[in-house]
Amino acid sequence: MNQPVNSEQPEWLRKQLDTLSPELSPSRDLWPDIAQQINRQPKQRWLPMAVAASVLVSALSGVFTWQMYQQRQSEQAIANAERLLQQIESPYSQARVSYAEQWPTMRANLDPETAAIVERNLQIIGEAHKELVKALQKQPDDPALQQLMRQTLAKEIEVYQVAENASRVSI
Amino acid sequence: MYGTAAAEASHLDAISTGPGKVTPLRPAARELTEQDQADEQLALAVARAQTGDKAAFAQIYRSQHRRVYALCVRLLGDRQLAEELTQDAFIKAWQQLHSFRGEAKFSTWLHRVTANAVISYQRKHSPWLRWLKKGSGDDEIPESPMHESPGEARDLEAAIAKLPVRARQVFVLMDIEGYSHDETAAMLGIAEGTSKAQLFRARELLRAMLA
Repeated sequence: MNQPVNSEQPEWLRKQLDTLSPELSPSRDLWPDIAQQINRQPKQRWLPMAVAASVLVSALSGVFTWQMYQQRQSEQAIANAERLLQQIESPYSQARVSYAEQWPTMRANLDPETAAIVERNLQIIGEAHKELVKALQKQPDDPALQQLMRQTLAKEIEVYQVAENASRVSI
Repeated sequence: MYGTAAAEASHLDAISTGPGKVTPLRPAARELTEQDQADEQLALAVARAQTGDKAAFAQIYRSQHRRVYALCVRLLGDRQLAEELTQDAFIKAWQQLHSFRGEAKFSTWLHRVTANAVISYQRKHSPWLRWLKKGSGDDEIPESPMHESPGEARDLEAAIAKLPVRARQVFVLMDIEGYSHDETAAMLGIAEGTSKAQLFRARELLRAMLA
């Protein structure tokens, strides 16, 4: 208890306050209820924290699962696109690799102007191929893109064939 | 803890006087009064209770509950309700015991916990109290004393119980517990000017009741 500010209290009040007992007794023993409450406390404090922790764990695992799901979806889409590209490119890949290896020899047999035209065409086809790969990774089910990819690959082979014929004529 | 420090100081005094000598270095400190001993025991009990010792807290309860109950009775004006709030105050004190750092006397800290528990209760149950008291609430402070029969409020205790809630809170906190206007205003969530006005009103009502 703080010390009352007696200097500001009127005389009659000071006399009255002197008669006031600092202690009063309750009509019953209050301790048993208090003891019961403080003995129960650890459980009460533990339970909300446990509930909060379990909610947090659930929320975090939910977020984690969602992220995993999203990532898996994304990985699945990329894998599907890769598989599709392989399917589209498969009929042309052997010829493309073969012509790519032969190209330095063919170019040597071509007159420089024709070789330059062939290289410019191959470069344009190469750019188109890269763009189509990106587009198919985003929209692998688009039949128009698939068709364009086939046409581009066929065109590449066609250019190599033209160059091959021209190099034979030159020889 | 200051209780432990006091015990150590007492021990040092005994050594410094030497064996067989009883010349105290500090006569006032040597003759421990009953109050000093009680304060020291209380400090030790608080230290033990802070480590989770419930028996020590029971000891604190036994030494402090009458003062805590008196504060509750005066703030509430209702002895039965004061018993419940006394229990509530001790439960809160147990929960908050870790926050007691020994910067003030434990009894001062305990009274602050008690006052806050009662004020919080009164804030939450204000409409009920007004209904129970049939219009003795803050908005209906009477201009004249509330007692009907002469002599009923000859006792200050009874007169305090008849004060309107806000006037009673301010009077008990300031004139009995010794809080300042700014401390009282902060505890009650009112302006300092309101605290001054309520104290003046409470004193005037009490003087009229006790005349």
